[in-house]
Amino acid sequence: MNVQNSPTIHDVIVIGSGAAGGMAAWNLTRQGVNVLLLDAGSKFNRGGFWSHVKPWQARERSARGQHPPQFFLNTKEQPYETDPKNPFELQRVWGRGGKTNVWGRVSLRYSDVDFEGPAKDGWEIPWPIRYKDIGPYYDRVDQLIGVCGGDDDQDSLPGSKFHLPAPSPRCGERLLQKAGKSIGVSIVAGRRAVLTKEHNGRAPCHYCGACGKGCDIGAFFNSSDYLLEPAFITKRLNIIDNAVAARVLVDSKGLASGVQYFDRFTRQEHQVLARRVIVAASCVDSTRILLNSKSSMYPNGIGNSSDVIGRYLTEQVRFHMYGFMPELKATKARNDDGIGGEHIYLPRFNHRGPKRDYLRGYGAQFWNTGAQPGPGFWAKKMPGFGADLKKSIKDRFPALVAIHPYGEVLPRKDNRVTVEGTPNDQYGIPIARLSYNTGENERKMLVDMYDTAEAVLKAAKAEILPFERGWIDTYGSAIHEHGTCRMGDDKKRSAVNGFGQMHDVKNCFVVDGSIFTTASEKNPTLTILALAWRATDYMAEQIRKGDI
Amino acid sequence: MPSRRSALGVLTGAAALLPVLGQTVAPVKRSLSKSEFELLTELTERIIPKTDTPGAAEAGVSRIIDATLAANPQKLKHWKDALAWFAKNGSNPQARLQILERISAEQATEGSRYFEMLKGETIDVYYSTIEGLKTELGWNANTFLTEFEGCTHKEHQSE
Repeated sequence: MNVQNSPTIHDVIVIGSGAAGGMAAWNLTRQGVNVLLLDAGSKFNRGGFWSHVKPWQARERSARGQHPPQFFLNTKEQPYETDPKNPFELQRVWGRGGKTNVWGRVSLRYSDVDFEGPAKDGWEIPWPIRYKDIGPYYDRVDQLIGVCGGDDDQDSLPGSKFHLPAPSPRCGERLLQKAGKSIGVSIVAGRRAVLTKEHNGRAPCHYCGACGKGCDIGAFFNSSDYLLEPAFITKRLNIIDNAVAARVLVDSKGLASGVQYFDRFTRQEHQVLARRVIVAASCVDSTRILLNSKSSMYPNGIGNSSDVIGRYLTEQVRFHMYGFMPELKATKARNDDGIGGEHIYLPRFNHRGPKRDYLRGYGAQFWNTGAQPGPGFWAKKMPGFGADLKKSIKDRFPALVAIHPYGEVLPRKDNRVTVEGTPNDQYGIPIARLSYNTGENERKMLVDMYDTAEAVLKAAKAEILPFERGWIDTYGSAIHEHGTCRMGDDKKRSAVNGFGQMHDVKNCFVVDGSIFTTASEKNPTLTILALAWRATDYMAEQIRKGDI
Repeated sequence: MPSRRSALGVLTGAAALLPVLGQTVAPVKRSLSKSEFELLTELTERIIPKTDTPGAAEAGVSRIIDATLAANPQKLKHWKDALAWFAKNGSNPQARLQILERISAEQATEGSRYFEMLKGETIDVYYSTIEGLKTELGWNANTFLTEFEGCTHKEHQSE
């Protein structure tokens, strides 16, 4: 098949349309830079979201052969390899806005407890930035996308002057806050990118609780509505749909010169040229693209003279603990939808007080608390059958509380994404292989995490659902991959600088979760947005000065 | 245990795509024989019986399970084996009730595995029907609100 080449040389090509790519496109176009964005999918049809389809209606619709938009990429279409003994569950969304269509919306700022952690404890390389570098960008992101939250401000969780009103906690959440307080564990208002009042002309949340099916009115941040649509208005953004990026092209000087991509459906190969390239295809796919971008100058992948690209894959260890609040048992079920997911958050506190026998820390989330559909996972654990079982389920339905602690995983060089010797995908490009495991540090931290979760539930006098201490959820289940193209000042131990600019290739930037030096215990999207904004401010300045 | 993905509310897998009785579209393909279906209806009703609200039979749990089996030969075999086991070990409803009582207290036996399967599937399906989720549990959410009230109990607040 002939390669389709376009003679146009674009100012910037952005690979990916999620939080990182969307931010890059938005921030560059508003500063006068023309952007070509490659999206591996296309726009999702909001009219087809099943946001207000009840469970029994969904079954009826399915029987009629209908289905909602399929956000998550089928691994049959685009496989990856993983160790069957330690499987890593990779979730990808190809299409406009990427995972921001269905993300959990938890929006936590990194703090200097996070940024200074590696420098203090000496595990792997230090971050090249501190809170003072990114704080102003968090402020801007909060104002742009709308983040609700409280007025709390802790050393591990910096506050914001720009939070929208926090939604009222549900009964179970109030009781957990009260219990936490009684044992000295602070449980604050959650911080979520959900509009609890009209914001920048956007309609607020109507509390239907179905955010995971996509919001039918765009009341939580998604890259398509909040970044790419405004960027189109500048007339400086072009998007090619169904463009599956394969490699970053390089010229004779070793600079990035464009991108090779394949049409998702026709498999036609294309090459598009640009003066600068931004890689923002989410952590694992960005890494795969970089590692596959081999040339005589970059035999192990573009910008990889340090050999760190693909290494130091991290996300978080997590588990789930459930209980039933005695005060809420056998009460009338309330509408506990709220903004979907939790209204409260337990910030990291283990860095205070006595020294622990492990490094780094953990926080906790609380989704599923209250009268939530899908009670089967706990209802099956109630003993017996018959009318007594039916009553015990009904009594507990309004009383469910849930704690989901998230712990930081240390970056390790053997936790990695590779493309060496893997099979080709349908476009003839090697797929990713993920090797990942946790270690002694995480096992020790998990003891503490279990103790804390149990202590909160015990303080609440909850009936705790039986759990297996030490159990952790499947690797990858947090959908928070980081670290495989990490930033740092040491060019021998990192791939990009604090602005996501490759040490080896000054006109190639990486701006997604792969550039995080560490993963922390926090959800990454707010920080991805802030880092991508900061990186593209720097890039725009470099363009103006003629440096790249 | 809900995965992050299922907690996000995304319909995945075959269960979301399988047919169910009661539609105005083409007739649903049956997987179980008449006697197997009647036995399944009896057993699911034992797990979640009619009280002041509908039980599993009225909620159509057995019909929904039957419909899911058409697309899953392995699962169909499990159910046929289970139903044959119940029929063999209990010749009438009263005898089968005693069987259920016995195997519900057992662990790691053939019977206990069938009990777990029957109970688990009945619960999953029943509490996703309008009878189970709305009528029985009182769930009345996934709607449009102008404000979210949250907890209004003074006694639930921190001091």
